Amino acid sequence: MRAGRLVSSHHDELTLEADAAEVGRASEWLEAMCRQRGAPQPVADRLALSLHEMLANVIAHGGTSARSSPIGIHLEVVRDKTGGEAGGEVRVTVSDGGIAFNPLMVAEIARPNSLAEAVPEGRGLTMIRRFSDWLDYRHEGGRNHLTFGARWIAKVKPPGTTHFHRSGERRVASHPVMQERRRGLRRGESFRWIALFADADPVELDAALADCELLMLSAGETLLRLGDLNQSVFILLSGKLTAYLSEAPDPDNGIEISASECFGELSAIDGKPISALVVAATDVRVLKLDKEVFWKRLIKLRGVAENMMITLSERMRRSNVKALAMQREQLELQHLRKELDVARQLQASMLPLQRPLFPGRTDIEVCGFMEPASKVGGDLFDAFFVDNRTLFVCVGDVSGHGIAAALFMVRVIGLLRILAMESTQPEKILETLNDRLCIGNDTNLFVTLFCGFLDTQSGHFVYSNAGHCPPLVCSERWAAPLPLPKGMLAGAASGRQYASLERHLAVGETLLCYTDGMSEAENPSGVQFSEQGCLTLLKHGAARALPELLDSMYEEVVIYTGSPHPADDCTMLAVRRLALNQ
Amino acid sequence: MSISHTDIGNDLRRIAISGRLDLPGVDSVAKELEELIAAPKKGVVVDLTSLRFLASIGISALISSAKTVQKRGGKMALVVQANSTVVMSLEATGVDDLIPVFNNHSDAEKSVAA
Repeated sequence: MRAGRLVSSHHDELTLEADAAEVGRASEWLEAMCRQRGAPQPVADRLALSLHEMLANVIAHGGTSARSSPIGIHLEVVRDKTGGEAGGEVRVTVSDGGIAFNPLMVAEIARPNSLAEAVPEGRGLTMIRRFSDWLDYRHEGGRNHLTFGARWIAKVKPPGTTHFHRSGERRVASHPVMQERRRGLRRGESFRWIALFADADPVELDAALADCELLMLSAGETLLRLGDLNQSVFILLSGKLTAYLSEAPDPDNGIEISASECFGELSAIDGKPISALVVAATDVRVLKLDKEVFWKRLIKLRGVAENMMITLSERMRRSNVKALAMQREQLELQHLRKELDVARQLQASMLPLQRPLFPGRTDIEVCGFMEPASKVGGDLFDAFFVDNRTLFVCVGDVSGHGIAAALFMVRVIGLLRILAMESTQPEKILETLNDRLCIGNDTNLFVTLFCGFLDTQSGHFVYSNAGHCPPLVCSERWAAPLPLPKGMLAGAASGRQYASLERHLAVGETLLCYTDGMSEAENPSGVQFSEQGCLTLLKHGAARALPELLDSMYEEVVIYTGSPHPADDCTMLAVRRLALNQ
Repeated sequence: MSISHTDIGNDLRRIAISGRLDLPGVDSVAKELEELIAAPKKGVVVDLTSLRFLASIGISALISSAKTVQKRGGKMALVVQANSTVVMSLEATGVDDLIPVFNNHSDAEKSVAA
C-alpha cells in the first residue's frame, strides 16, 4: 500500500435501473466524475470501460432479480502525495440484487490463435481484469458487491508539463531483470486477473514475480511428465493445456487446464513426483514460479493463500465429481455386461443345442455345436422336422459380431422357422428370406446360409445355398465337399433367384455343415486351417458319435490356433443317417 | 453514434463509426454494419478514429464482421487514433492480434488490397 499524505477524498453515488440505455449513461458519468476529481484521462477511460462491462454482465447474467432492483454505484477518488510524487486512487463499488455471482472465479476465454478460431463474444471479463488494478467481490445482504479501481502516479515536473503514467508500466520499466524475463508477455500485462492474485497488492505482486520465467510452448509439446520431480508452480496465461493421469495422452481421459489456472502445486507442496502428464493443447504461455519464490514470497501476499485453498478445494470437488461419474459408469458397464449375458443365454436358447437332438429317433443322429467369438455371436444353425420324415437343416453366418449381428441372426432364425413350414423347396425359402431381409435392412448386415430338406427314410437330400461355404459329406472311407448351386448371400439385394441341387445321403454317411470360423481359423503364422483341414479331421472321426466328433474337431482347431478364444464364431451342424437295425 | 461508408472503386469499402460502441450504442449501428460488411467487397477498412468508447459488445461486432469478410475471401483492417481508449480496448482483449490495426488509412488500405 502507498504511504503518503492525503490531499483530498471525494465520494459520489449513482443509482440506475438495470437496462442497456442506463449502462451507457453510467459509464459516461464515471468517466466525467473521475476527470472532475482529478484522475488522469487514461485512468478514467479504463474504469469507465470496466464499469460498462460489469453492468452489462449484471444485466445479461443477473436474472430477473437483477433487473427488478436498482444498481448502486459508489465512487471514491483519493489524491495523495508521497515525496515528489503526486498520485491517487479511484475505487468503484457496484452493488446489484441479482443472483450471487463472483466474476473473479470465472476463467477467462483462451486467446484464439487466429481469426477463424475466434469466438466474437466473451471478452468483457478480460477487459475488467486488464483495466482494473484490483478487483474484489463479496456477497452480502443478498446483494453482489464488486469493487475495483486503479491507482496513478504523476511525477511533479516543471510547471505545465505533468505526465501521467499507468502505475504498472512504470514499475515494469524500473525492473530491468523483470523486463528481460518477461519477454513474450503483453505490453503492460498485469497478473491481477489471475484469480490466485486477485487480492494481492500490485506493487508487491510485481516485485514477487520479478524473477519468474515465462515459458512458451507450441501445441503438442509436453510441459510436465508423469513421475518427474518438480520444483515449480505453474500458471497458465493463455492457450489450453491438457493433463492426463497416464504416461501417454489418452484422448478420452484428459483434464483441461484453462487460462489463469494454477498447476504443479501438489508436487511442489509434498515434494512427490508429478502425478500427471501435461501437454499443450494449443500454443500456450505459462508462468513458471520457482517453488521457493512461491512459498516464501507469493503465498505471503494478501489473499494468495486463501485463493490457493479455494483453487485446491475446487479441484478436489471437481475430481470427486469425476470419480463419482466414473463409478457410475462402472456400475452401468457391469449392468450392461449382465444384460449381455442374458442376451447370450437367450440367443443360445434359440439354437437347438440339446444333445442328443432327437432322442426319440432311431433313423437319424443330429448334433450342433457353437462357440461364439464375442459374448453374442452372429452364427446360426437349426434342425427340425417339418413332418414325420422330413428334416429341415440350416447353417448361417451373419456378417459382423455383437448385438446388431445377434438381433439380425434372431430375425433370420425366426423367418426360416416360418418359411420352412410353408415350402419344402429350399431355393424358394432362400428367395423369400432374401427379399424379407432386404426390407428395412438399414444396418447393412447380411447372412450367408446353407439349408436343405432331408427325407430321413429315403436319404433324398435337396438343398440350396446363399453364399455359404460348402458342407462336407463323409463315410468311413472318404470325405468330400458337397457340390453347391450358385446363390448370392441373403439380405444384400432383393429379387435374387436361388437354385437347388439334390443328393442321396446313404446310411452311415455324415453331412457336416459349418461356418468359416472353423475353416478360416488361423495359426500364429497366419495360415488358415482350411477346408482340407476340416475334411481330414472329419475323415479321421467318421466312426465317432457326432457329439464327440464335433467336440474333437473344435479342440483340434483350438490347438491349431493356439488360443482358447476363437477369432470368429465357430459353428457346426452334423447329420448322420443310421441303419434302422441300430 | 453514427456509421457511414464510402466505396473506393470496386474492391474497397471504407466504413466509419463514430461515437460510443457501448451497450446502447451498438444497437443503433449493428444492423447497418452487418449490411455494409455483407457487400461483396474484397477489402474493408473500418475507421474507428472518431470512436470514443469501445466496449466488449462493440469488439464482438468487429470480430463477427472480420470473420464474415474473411469467410468470403476478403480482408478487413481497422484504423485507429494512436494511444486512444479504443486502442486500449483492442490491445487488452488481444483483438489487435486477430484483426490488423493501423494508424492511418493508406497503410490499412494497402493491407486489405494485398
